[in-house]
Parts: sequence; structure tokens; C-alpha cells
Amino acid sequence: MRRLPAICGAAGAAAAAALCAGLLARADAARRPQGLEGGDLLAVLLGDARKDLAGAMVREADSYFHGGVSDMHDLHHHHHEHGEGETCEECEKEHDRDEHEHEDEDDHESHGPDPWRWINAGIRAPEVHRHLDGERSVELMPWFWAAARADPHNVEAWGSAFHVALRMLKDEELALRIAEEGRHLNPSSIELADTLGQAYRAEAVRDDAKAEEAFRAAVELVRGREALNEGEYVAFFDALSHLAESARERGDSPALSALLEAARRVAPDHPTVLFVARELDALRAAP
Amino acid sequence: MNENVFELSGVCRSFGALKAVDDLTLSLARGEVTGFLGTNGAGKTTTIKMLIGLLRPTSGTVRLFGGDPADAATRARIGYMPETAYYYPYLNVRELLAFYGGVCGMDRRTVRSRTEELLEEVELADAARRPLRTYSKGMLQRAGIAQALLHDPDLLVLDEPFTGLDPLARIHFRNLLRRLRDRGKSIFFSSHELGETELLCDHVAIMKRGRCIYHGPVDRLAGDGRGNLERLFLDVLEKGVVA
Amino acid sequence: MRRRLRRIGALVRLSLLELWRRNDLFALLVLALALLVPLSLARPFGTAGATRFYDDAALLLVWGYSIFVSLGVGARLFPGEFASRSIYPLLAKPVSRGELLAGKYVGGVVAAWSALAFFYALWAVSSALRGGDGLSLCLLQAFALHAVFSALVVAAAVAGSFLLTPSANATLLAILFPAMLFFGRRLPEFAEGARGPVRLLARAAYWIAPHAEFFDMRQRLVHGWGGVDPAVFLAAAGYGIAYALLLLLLARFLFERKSL
Repeated sequence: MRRLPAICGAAGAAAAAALCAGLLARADAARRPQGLEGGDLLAVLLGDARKDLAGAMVREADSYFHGGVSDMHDLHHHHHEHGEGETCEECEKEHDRDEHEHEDEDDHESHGPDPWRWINAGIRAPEVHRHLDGERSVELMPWFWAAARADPHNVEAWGSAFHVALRMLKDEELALRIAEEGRHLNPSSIELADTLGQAYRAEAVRDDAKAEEAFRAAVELVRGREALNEGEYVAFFDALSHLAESARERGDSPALSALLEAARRVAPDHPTVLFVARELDALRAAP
Repeated sequence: MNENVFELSGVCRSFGALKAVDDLTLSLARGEVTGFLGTNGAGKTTTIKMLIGLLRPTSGTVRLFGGDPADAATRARIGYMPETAYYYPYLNVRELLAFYGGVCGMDRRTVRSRTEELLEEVELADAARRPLRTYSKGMLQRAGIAQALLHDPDLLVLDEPFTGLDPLARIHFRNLLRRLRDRGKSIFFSSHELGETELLCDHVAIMKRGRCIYHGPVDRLAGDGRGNLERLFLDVLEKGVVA
Repeated sequence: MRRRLRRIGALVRLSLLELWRRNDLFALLVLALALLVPLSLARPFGTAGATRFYDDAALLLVWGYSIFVSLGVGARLFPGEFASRSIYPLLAKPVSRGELLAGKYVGGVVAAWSALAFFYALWAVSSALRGGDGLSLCLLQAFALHAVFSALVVAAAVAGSFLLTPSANATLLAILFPAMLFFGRRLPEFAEGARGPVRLLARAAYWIAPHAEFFDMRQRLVHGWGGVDPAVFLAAAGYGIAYALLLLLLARFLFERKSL
């Protein structure tokens, strides 16, 4: 009986928490822009630390993708499996590269005897290295969601969540929802503009006009930018090639010419420049 | 036979430069009740701690029932009640006695029957289910004496047992100690309560600055022209009159 | 021998009663529910079916709570007795300081284990309800190593309580163990990047400080890696037990010399 208040308290707290969770879920269902409210609160509470927090959550998602392995040192000499045990050539290559890099580091990191390495490796290293794929990739979503809540401007979180939804979960509606929210919260992001374009090209939600609008926005955003990071660079050329393809289909050589100009300004030797130039030549040569 | 239950001879105890007990020689005969008096800081509690093995003397010897009080087996024959102990506030008195019984290595059945006897003896049977945190000072003192008596020790060592008790509790406590004395228990207690000491004790020992300046029977007091223990105490402490 | 077991049994019972009659555990439970119930209902981006993050968060809470409970129990074992002066009647009983230390330590460890078992049982049930493995070799190994860790924390708290004030002891260990849990295995890298005395200190810490991370099988449980190699398991458990025994020897040395 003396525990009754504590039990009632626990039950009350659980009920209140469930109510809050229900309300949150309902708000989610109403497609509330993710991260706005939480972002504001976290911005007040954490300041710039929320960016680090979001980064840590994206890294955690990466660790989840590798089946919980957060330290690539642990991967040495372990069999590598993909999904339910199938090997994945791409991943093998990637990790072969990782392993070579880490072997170099190992040479560099010979700090003398390490009495605990064996125990640590035995506890921390999986016997088989697995990747999440298919429906099990849903395990990554909470981390991307949390990262996007912590820092709504973490482009990598939005982009990765979109990628998982579209390519791994094969849920095109979900991918579109994520892309829309990400773009809404990050109107100056080249990558998320391109992502939204890709989302509108998915079969179930296909809308070519909106896709083109998004790709165009991605290309426009590059104007006036002095330098692009790797993600932006890739996104720009992806958006540009989609626009070029669309212009070629319409037979719109002025548009194609403008795109070629834009591409040359960013990277004159990029394969996409050559591709657009070829398309333009073909279009001009056509009767 | 008047065997001594404890003997301290030439005992000194220092804490750094402070000599808390200085060349103390004292003994207690079996069945005797001795009051241990002195002002604050006179060395009473240090002496008691040495007697029950909590402290080792810097020099001199302490013998308890002929053995070393640091030896756990020797301590099986003493019951000790500290001046103020809050025990374990989340236990009730039955659980407290069961715990101490276990620590003494007593079997459960014996602990249970002794507990019932003692709860009647110290008049806590009605409050046996209440947690100790709800007890008054007097009730805690009675719980303290119950734990000290649980394993039926031959010697009771009580540190200021009357401190903080109301008049009625004092009377109850005094009567309890008398019953124990009548059963042949040896009792050694420190106190500032001269009246209680006079009513209970066969002997008194008076400490001043770590030294015992008087040790003798109380019944001498009535006929030696000094009148009472209070007067003796004052004479001894202020005028340095040593018996 | 029987009397000695009774003494230790009494001290174990006391520690259990103390832990379960305080409201700490129930407060922790309420806090856990308040954190985990919304997590269990969360639908990130409107998706359903993610369970690993929940298991991960719940196990992290179990770890946090176990450090809190083990430290709380261990750091209170003796200072509580000294502060309330209940150590005096206890040591006046026919019990040696060594027996008292052993009995109170075992009591503290059993109390901490009871809380740990409670939290692991809750975790296993909730995991099984969401399609997890429930009881498995990995879970048993994880619990056993966690229990050794808990015993190590209690031993460190007991030894520390003879050297430091209760608050300093609890604060120091509340920093040390989580730091070792999360960063212990990174110390060599840190040492490599540091210079002078900091480098030496980091290296010494790596060799000497208690490696909490040896007992952490959360990744294995959450990501379904399965149990660890028995040799590794025994080595980690042996390390924890040996470390705890060393700390207890230190505690006994200090307690025997302590003036009361």
C-alpha cells in the first residue's frame, strides 16, 4: 500500500506520456513541417550544440546501417554480409577500401602493447558484418528524424532519410513527404531542391511539372555561389541533367543552351557538360 | 567470587597532540553497576570506545572478560548502546532486532522469541510495526537497549542513556536498568545525570581531562558528610579532592 | 561458518530493504516510463516498425540507472552508518571489520543486482512484446557482465568512501565510470594526439582505470550480433572481479585503520 502513490504516479506519468505521444503522432499525421517547433525549442536550449547533436545522430544512423558497428577498426578480419547474408559487391569494395585505410592507420597507430584490445574487440566486434536493407532500413528513420528535429537545417539528415525511404523502403509517398518537408525548411539547399525533384519523378507520385520546378530551383540556387561542396556539386549536375533531358524531349534548344552555359560555369570538364553539349548539337542538327 | 568483567590498566589514548585519556586504570566487578561521570571532553566516550574495541589504546591494556575487546568473540558478551544512534529509519523495531540477531549469528527462532520478550520488556510491543523514523527519542533509546540486550550479554555498556529523555521515560528507563541489575547484569554507563546515577549505581568513576580522579562506591556518600553525588562531583572537579 | 553466513545474510537483507524501501527506484521507474512510453509510440516521419532505437534507448537508461543505483548503494554503505552512528552498535557486536565490510559489500551488490535484474526483466519483456528475442544467450551474457560491472562500481564506491567525502566520492565515480564507458577505448588515440604529461596520464589511465566498456554488450543485444566468445566473456568477467577484489582489499586496509 505504501507504494500506491509511486505506482499511481508511474501510471499517471505513463498515461501523460502516451497522451503526448498520441498528440505528436496526430500532428505528424497532419503533415506538420517536421522540426519547426522542436527546432525552435532546441535552438533555445542547445544553441549551436544542436548541430553537433544532429551530426551525432546522423553518424548513429550510419552505425545502424552497418548493423551497429560504429568503429570500422572492429571490422577487420570479419566476414561481410549484406542484408540477410548475401554479399554486396559495392559494400565489399567500400569496406576493402576502408580496411586498407585502417591498415595504414594501424601502422601509424602502433602505440605499443595494448593489454585490453583483445577483450574490447571480442565484445565490440560482430562476427559477421551485416547491413540493413529492405524493410529493416526503417530502423534508420528514427535517427534521421531526431537529427532533423535537433537541427532542421541538417541537409544530410533530410537527404539520407529521403534516400532510405525511396531506395530501401520503396515508399515513394514517404520519400516525397520527407523531400517536401526538407525543402520547405531549407529553401536555399541545392541538394534538397534536387531531392524534391527526384521525389516528384517517382512513379507513384509522379508530377513532371513540379519535378522540373524543383530541379530548376536547384540549378538557380547555384547562381552567385562561389564554391560548391561535394553534395551540392553532385546535386547540381543531377538536377541539370534532368532539366537537359526534359528540354531535349521538348526540343527546347534555347533552354538546353542556357543549361550548357550554367554547367560550364560550374565545371567545364564535367561529363554532364559534354552530355548536354552533345544533346544540344543533336537537337540543332535535327531537321 | 568477584571476577572483573573488564580491566583497564594504564590506558592512554591520544589524537595527535590531544591526550583524550591519560593513564586510566579502572575495573568493573561482575554484577556491579558503575556510573561513569565527567564534564564534556573528559574522555568518557573515548574510554567506552576502547572498552568495546572500536578504538585501540595508544598505550596500556584493556581486558574484557579476560580477552581483547578487538576480538569479535570477546564482544559477544557485551551489549552496547550509543549516546545517539538513529539506527535504520526504514526498519521497524522487529526488523532491527532481527538484523542485529543475524549479525550476532543467532538463529531465527531464538531471535524471534528474544524479540518478543524484549519488546514487552522495553514496552515497545504496541509500536513494533512502526518504522523507527516515527519513534520519539525515548522510544529510540528503548529500541537501543533492546538491541543491546538481544544476545543476552553479561555486560551492558551505555553511553549517556538518559540524555534527552522526558521524566516519565527516565523513570521507565531507570526501572528497566534496575531489573537488569537485579538479574545480575553488569552495567557501565556514562552520564551527566547525577541524580539518576546516584539512584542506580553501586560505584561511580569521575573523569577529568582524561584522568580518573575518583572511583569508589556510591553508598559511602550518604555517611561521609558530603551529602550527595552532586556535592562529591563538585568537590572532586573543582577542589581536586580525590578519594 | 554458519554464524558467519548468518551475519552476511543479515547485512544483505538490510541492504535490500534499504534499497527497496527508498523511493529512488520507483522514481527511476516513473522517469523511465515517462521517457520510454512516448518513444515506443513514436512514428518517425510517419513510419512504423523501428524497434532498435527503442531497445537502444532503453538499454542506455538501464546502464544509466545501474550506475546510479550501484553508486548510490555503494557510496552510502559506510558513510550512512558513520553519519547515523549506527556503526557503533554494529561494531560492538561480535563481528569483525572484515566481516562487516564483506557483508555490507555483498549486501550492496545483491541490492544493486536486484534492481538490475528488475530493469533487465522489464527490458526483455518489452523487447519480446515487440518481436525481439526475449531471453537469449546474448541477454544472459549481457546481464552477467553488467552484474560484474555493477559489483565493480559498488566496490569502487565502498573503497572511495574511506578516502573521500561522500559527495566527492559519488561525483568522482559518477564521472569516471560513464567516461570510461563511452571513451575508455579511445584513450590510446587521445594519448597519441596529446603531448607531455597529458599523454602519460592518458596512457596510464588506459592501463589502470576500470574499463567499464568491457561489460557493455548493448550493441550485441540491439543489433542481434549474438553472444560473445566464452573466452572473451570469461576474460571480461575475470577482469571485473579481480578489479573489484583489489578495491575491496584497499577498502579493508583503510577500514581496519580507521578510527571511529
